[in-house]
Amino acid sequence: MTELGPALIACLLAASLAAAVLRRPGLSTRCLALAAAMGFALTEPAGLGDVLVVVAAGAPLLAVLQPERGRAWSIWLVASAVAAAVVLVAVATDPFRDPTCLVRCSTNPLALGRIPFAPIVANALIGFAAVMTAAQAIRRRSVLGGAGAALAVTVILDVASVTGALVTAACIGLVRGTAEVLAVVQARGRLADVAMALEQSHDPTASMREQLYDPDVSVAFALPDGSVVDEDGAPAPEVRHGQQVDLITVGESTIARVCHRPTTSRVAVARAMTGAARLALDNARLLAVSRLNARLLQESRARVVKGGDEERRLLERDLHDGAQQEVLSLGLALREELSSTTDLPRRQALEDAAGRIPLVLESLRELGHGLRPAGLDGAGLSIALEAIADRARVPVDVVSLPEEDLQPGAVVAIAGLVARQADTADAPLRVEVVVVDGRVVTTITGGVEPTPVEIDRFVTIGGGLGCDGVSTRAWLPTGER
Amino acid sequence: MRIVVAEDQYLTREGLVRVLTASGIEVVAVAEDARHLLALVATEAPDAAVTDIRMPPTHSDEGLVAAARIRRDHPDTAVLIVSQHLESGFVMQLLEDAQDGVGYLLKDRILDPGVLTDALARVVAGECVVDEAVIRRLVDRERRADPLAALSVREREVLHELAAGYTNEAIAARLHIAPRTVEVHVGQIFVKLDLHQDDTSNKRVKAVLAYLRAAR
Repeated sequence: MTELGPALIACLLAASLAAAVLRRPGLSTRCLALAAAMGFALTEPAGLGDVLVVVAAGAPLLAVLQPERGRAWSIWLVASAVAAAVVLVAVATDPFRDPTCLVRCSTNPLALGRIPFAPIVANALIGFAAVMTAAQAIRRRSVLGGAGAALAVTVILDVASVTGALVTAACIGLVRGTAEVLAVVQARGRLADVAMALEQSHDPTASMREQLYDPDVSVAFALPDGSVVDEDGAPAPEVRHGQQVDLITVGESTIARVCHRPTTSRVAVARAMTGAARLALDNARLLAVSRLNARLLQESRARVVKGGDEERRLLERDLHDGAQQEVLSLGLALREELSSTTDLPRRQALEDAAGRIPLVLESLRELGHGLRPAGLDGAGLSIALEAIADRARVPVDVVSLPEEDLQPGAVVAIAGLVARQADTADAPLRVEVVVVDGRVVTTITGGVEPTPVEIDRFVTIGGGLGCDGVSTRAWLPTGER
Repeated sequence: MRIVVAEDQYLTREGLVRVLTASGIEVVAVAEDARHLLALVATEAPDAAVTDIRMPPTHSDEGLVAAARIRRDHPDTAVLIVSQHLESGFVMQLLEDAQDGVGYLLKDRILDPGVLTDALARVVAGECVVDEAVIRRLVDRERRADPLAALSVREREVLHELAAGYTNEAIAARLHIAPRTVEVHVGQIFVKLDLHQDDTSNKRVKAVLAYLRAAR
């Protein structure tokens, strides 16, 4: 266009000159007007945008092409068309327009997006109309029409000149000011929509069902790894037979999967998913992802705690079944050897060795207790707490224990907590375990603040652990998770 | 004396049988778990059963449960628990479940045949036997205010013997004092600790153990 334009303009000017020489004023004027229009179009001034502006700009042309309707009519038509164009430009020009535009702009029928050649066409039409009007006015010797047309031609042909620039700047200023005011009004409306959508975003499925009048709509969210999860981050159910699937995308990435009745059109889904609704959906997706991550973390924490417990149990079992019985049988062998030996020095050595066996057994027994207090394999909390109290450096009062048997996981957690408190406390401990409202509540008074690892242990089996400075309180569900 | 032995670990079981046989006790059968033990007691009707606590299948308290059942269903068979655990909780559970003729020894005592056979003889005679290490640990427990401080040295000695399940006569013999003196000491202990004095050995042991476990 940029290379062809000047050539075309030159041809048209030549044609106009030729027509004048050949005394064909009408053709000469039209050619001149076309050339002017093309020149004006190529300058492509900023601001004129949309298809309705093009239509409005076409009105003067109508006036020019129907000169028999009267001069006043043409002038009023031109004036009102220019005014309409200014208003339309103001409304249609949206300074906040962006690819993920919010709800208002999409419902604004004027904001259809920039049509590539709309300004060129509009400017061409205005230029063509202005030259034609000037020709008509000159032909009719109309002073006012001639002056208006002359001004228009000046603007058209001399748009880059100082005079033209001033007029254009004034027009643009007016248009931009109006646009700003309208844009602020629109932005406030959009913000209200966003706030409302975010408020409803905790249940995107419900709002989709409402909008699509389809109670079977299901919304699921796509994760970067390709899996699909529901609002809680759990794996989404399979697509039901007969349902249609639509993918909702933001930019390049798919954020959600909407399953709906096959009779619901994709256009309806797309309309339900514009602007603030899309923002709300993405928000719900992020929430689902964070819930999924929280659960994965929780599961991993539970595995770590459980793995540690199991490891200790096996170690204690190995110690009990392996080392202790080996030492015991070694002791027996030494005794037998002793009973059949008469050599005095040898007897003394054997006695010395045999005398150490009970100490080794004692050490192994206490090591086993440290790994895992007795009674954790089903014998009950009472035995485990007594075992701890028997060995504690500080007095341990167990003031109350629940009548009912607790779950093994709860016994391990409570005994572990009391054992660590008994190991680290420097004041007497008071231990109270009660069942209240379906929860096992352990209160330890006089201990030290629990460590994060201890808190983890309770959280992983569905309970919790807190400390108020005076006592440590742990709670667990009575039914183990 | 005819006994059956229940122990899941081979080395310990064989050692136990060897020590008992060497001491002149007849081991009529051995079992590797509690279920087998109960069957053997029913068929062999032994004077006593010697059993471990942790045995298959769950390795928790099978031996204790079996002991209670034997004492309930076969009153003529005494039970001696031989355990790796120095836990007063296990002892209390044993004494709760059986009125008399039960004992609790550490496995370490296998190395001390005298203690083992003495304990067996006492449970067969209907007494209760508690390993002295268990008593010592209970007596030595950390306490806020030690109520045992009120006892004289001799009374403390008698308390140990009392808790281990010895009769007044046995205590007199072991401490080399007159039976009448023992009675006086025992009376003093019960008064000082504010315990109700009971005549049967088992109830006496239980009362003292419970006191030691609960005293703060």
